[in-house]
Amino acid sequence: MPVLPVDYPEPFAAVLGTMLYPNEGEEAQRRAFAAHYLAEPIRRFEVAGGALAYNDLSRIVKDGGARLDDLDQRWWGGWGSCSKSCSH
Amino acid sequence: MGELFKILFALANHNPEQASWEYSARIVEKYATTAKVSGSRASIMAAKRCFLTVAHLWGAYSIRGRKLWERVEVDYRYADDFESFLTEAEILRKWGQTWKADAAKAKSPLPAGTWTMPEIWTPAPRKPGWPPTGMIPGILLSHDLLPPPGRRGRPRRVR
Repeated sequence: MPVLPVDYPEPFAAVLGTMLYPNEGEEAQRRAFAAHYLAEPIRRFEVAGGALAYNDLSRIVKDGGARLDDLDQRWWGGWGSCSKSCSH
Repeated sequence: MGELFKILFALANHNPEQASWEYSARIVEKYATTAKVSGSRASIMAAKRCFLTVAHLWGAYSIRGRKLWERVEVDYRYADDFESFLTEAEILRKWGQTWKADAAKAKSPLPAGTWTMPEIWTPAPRKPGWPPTGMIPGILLSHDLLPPPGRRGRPRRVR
């Protein structure tokens, strides 16, 4: 069985990314979702004087490359019903 | 997916003879029609195919009202609630991979390839005064939402 990425620097974002993009071939989208999701909290954390470990920050930034054009449909599919873009 | 799984779980506990993905999808469809939101049965089943391996996570999220929360007065933080959410999802996963309808050739709702927690993971110990999370509450479906059951057996092929 595939294992949820709870070792990620912010596991909630990583688990949510997995919930939205759970299928084979969607690993880049999973990771990109977590990176996008964390951008604003990281900004606020640093404005408040916090400092993220370089390794964590680097890992998150490198994950952010994939486009998530179907994100709204994924949310809709996860909550209630359909995602036209998902053909699995 | 979350609502679909929640309804299947509720049916399995209270109306096991009607507990199936198909009947649950009919309930979601009926609810969507009543609430005037989009949700045809075909789109619901498409979502099921897409999200089946994480259905327990969406189900847990749906059952807890689609939110994480904290209660600072009892030192219950978001991180604790997230752990509770994962615990709830694991309860649903174990149920979904073992429960079977009482019918010949019945299969468990969740496949072997369902996403799971690491084998070494155990939920953090709970503290006195924490809210009753980390468990699945009883879920009752309104009778108004239950469509009449269809005929048993293989669905008629649509030509």
